[in-house]
Amino acid sequence: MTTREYDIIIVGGGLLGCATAYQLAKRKAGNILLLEANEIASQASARAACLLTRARTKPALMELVQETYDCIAEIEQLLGESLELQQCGSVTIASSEASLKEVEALEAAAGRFGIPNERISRERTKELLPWMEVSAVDVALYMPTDAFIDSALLCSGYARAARALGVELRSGCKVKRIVAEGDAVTGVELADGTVLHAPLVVNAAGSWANLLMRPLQVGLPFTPVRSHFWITGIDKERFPVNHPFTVIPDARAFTRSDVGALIIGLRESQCQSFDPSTLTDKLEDFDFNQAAKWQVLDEGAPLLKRYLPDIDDLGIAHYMAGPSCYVPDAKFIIGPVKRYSGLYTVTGCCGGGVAAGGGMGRLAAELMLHEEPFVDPALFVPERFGEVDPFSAEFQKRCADARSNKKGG
Amino acid sequence: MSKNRAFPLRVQEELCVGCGLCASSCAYQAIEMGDFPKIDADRCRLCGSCVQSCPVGALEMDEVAPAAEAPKQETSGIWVLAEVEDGALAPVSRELLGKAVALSAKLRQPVEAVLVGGRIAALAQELIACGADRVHVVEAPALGQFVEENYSRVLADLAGRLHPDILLVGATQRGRGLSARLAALLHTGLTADCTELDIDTESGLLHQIRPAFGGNLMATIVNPTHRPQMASVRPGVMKALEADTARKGEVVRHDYSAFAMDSRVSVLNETAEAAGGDSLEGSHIIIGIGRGVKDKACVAEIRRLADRIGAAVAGSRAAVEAGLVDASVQVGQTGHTVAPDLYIAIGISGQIQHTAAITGARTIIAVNPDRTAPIFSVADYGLALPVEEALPQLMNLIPAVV
Amino acid sequence: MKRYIVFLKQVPLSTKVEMDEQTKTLKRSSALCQTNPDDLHALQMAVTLKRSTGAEVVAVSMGPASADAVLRETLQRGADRAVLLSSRAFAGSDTWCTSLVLAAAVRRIGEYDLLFFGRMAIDGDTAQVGPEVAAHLDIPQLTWLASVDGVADGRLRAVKLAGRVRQQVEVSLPCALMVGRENCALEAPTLSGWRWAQQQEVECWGEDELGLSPDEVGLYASPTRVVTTEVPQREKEMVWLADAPALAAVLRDAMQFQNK
Repeated sequence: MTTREYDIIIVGGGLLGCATAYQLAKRKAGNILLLEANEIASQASARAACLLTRARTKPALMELVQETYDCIAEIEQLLGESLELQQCGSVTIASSEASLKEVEALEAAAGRFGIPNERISRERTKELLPWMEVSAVDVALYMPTDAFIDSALLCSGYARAARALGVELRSGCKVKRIVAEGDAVTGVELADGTVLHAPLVVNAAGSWANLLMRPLQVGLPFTPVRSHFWITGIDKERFPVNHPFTVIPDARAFTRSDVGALIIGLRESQCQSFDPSTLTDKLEDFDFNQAAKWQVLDEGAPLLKRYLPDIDDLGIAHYMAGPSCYVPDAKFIIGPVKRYSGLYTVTGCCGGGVAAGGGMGRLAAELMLHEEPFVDPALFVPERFGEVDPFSAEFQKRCADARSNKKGG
Repeated sequence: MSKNRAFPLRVQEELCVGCGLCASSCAYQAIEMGDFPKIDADRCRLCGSCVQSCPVGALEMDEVAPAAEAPKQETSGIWVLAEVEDGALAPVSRELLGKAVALSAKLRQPVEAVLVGGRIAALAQELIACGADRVHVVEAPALGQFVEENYSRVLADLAGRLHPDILLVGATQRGRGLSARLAALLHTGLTADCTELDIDTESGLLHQIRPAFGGNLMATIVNPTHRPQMASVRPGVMKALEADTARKGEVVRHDYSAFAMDSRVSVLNETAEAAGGDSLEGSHIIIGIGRGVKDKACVAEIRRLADRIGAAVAGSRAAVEAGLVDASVQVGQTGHTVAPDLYIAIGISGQIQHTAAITGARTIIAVNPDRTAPIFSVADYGLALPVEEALPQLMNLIPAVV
Repeated sequence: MKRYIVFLKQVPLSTKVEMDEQTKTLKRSSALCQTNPDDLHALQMAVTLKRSTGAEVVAVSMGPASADAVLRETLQRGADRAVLLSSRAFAGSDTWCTSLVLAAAVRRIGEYDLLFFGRMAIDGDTAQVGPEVAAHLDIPQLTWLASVDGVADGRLRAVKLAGRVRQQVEVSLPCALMVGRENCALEAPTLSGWRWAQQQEVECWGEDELGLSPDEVGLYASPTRVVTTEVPQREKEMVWLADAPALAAVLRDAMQFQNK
């Protein structure tokens, strides 16, 4: 049995773990180790829709997203290579009173934050989105500076930048448990029995985070909920490369370009949560319910049909499902876990890990290093729901409902 | 045996320790673990993985009764089907003879080669030199072209009369389809694509060892009651003997001059098959381009290299995004899954979406300046050099005609 | 009308098998299944050919009840009729017995023009079942198909590979085709296809319907028997190459192996 001292150990090599590692390293937080059970950026972070929507109505979210954009620029500088941010712009579509209100709120938020935005005509909408049936569009809000990014590339960008700044990355290294003595964490024990010591441990294990918390009798207030998208066959005329992504609240849908095909994200009316204790070590082995591929599309197609009339007969070349970690109030979980000194968490992405990851990592780093936080940390306190049992069906449903009732795409 | 025969796989609960290893070893999800394993007879394919996985021998599968094990007739001879291409013996035939000689030492049966074709008799001496004690020659103008329907009928007739104990065929493009058809005609078992053969000293049976599940498992297979014991053997695995022209052997000619060709099949023409191919799935060699390849000039250079080695060119998602290659040749989760003999990853970092789609490749060579790039975790050979540095050197080293 | 019969097999999604280091036993982590990839291309070829010749496309799968999913997918992708061959008596069938069952299914289906098989299944890698069915039915077989050039007047023209030669052949119907992934590109399935498939019946036949005795099929009737299976020791340590000349040498070796 070997031991080794670190200042900080981060468990999880997904977007949130890697972003936190980067933000800590940038702040010269000491000797940092990041542990990933599989490969870096290979799990949920490789299955995301990858939208970086700037304008938001939830508090602090715009700051967190802006931080991600800033990180991307910094990392490209640091590594001397492009992370291939695709600045395609976005179009939010309203076809009802309710969605018009959302668009107005987004306009106000964008205005406050200085994000370029304009309402565009149906003709202009058709130019930008050749596939769309624009007669269904009442209002289209265009934000030309929005972008998307390959989430796995972004994640490995955080990781490589962190490594360049001195963080030790270990993949294929599964953490068996977080070790605590009394009410203080002292390190982690690996699957092979090795114990690694550190006074600070960050649980950024995403969908698996509660499995690590369970022996410590801590329940983080989230559960994995299925998110998914469909990719059509390639048709570069209809789905031009890098045309704007869309958010269509009236269809509970988003779309974005994917090298000449269209990615369609749909949210079912009753989202599917998963008991974390049923998770497999690798998501590729996990059954997200393969039948959902067509059942959910079947449910969502009637709403989407107004905008994409041939959805029923459109060839669907691929389907991707992955877990998003949803919290009942659809806000992130960032900060110290009160029950143990030295234990921190950054999780509960609520489908926003790509867009907000850089900011979430920054807030986590600031809290760990006792710096002045750049957004209000009270919003993200892990204990804000009191004691919860993430392994109970009742709590899992609360989390699934947070996604079912999500506004926008 | 009656229709109500008991299911042949049972759990001996008094031995079971409830560890669940059987359930996790089952490829068909036929075992549900409670206190004891519960076998779903409708899903179970009786593959026996669980029986082997059990550390305490609590799973039991019925063996066929010993009386049924005895072969139905006297058989003798380790036969090797010689494969002839362009009038020459295929390397795999010499390899099979080398193995047959080793088996014959244990089994004490003669090594016999079977030579079928239009004008092939001259090759008999070479087969003897490579280890055959006897060569069966079936020469007929009608057999000048390789037609599985004709060859399998001739061979079934010959084996049906001479009763070989073992029949080995090269697992080549020709051998695999032919051997399968032949096995069905002879009503015998056939083990495909073996990588090792041995004689079980106790039973005298041929142990046929082959990869399954894409090479993730090695299975040892026997054929206890049907004859001949047939196996096709992967080319390039067995070792041929040094040819010994002084070696003596018997040549037996079989008269199939009256053999009537299968009138349902006609070969209109034959042309030489060019190496390489243009479709990704059909290519033996694929060069994958990633974002480490900086510009189109570099891509053009890679295409020249590809032409020289008969490779198809593909790209990672990032290369497609960067406009370096067309989306139609994207390899990855949302593109193609490929399984070439050789995959050369140039400037590919190895995101999981990409690596998952190339794991079927027999050999992977990766070129990437970042030694920690994940592509190296799936590669067989790695070169840590920037593409623009490695490529010109390679172009000099790989001449236009290899 | 013509009839094309396509055979498809349900296989594990992942063929990965790991050795549990502590217990030294096999560990399969995934419970997910898929339709064997080559078989989908066989179906595609049948459906595409049907568009020009007209035909009923019948999809057949042998396996447990869960193979129903495979058959629904065939209906979604253009098959007209689906038949599941399922019985406990079939368990443990090797390729000889499997092909016997499939041949019996063909006889029960009746008149037919073409049989389509995927070249190889990813869980068995034998490439034997198609040719064995062809032998049981005594019809010609086209293994290692390169292309199908046309069907007319009861004959099929195709190009097949046979080692170093490419043969252009003409074969009288009925015959069997072994289809590989390179033979045709898959069309993406649609939602309307899925909706239609959900409303169809999948027929289910056991040994009685096929006129087979339980003693003719399954483990006991299979000529071959698996003695042991094990995870091979992987010495797949990556080799670092010093320079471009070292890479060129590896490349030449790899190509020589391939040219054998």
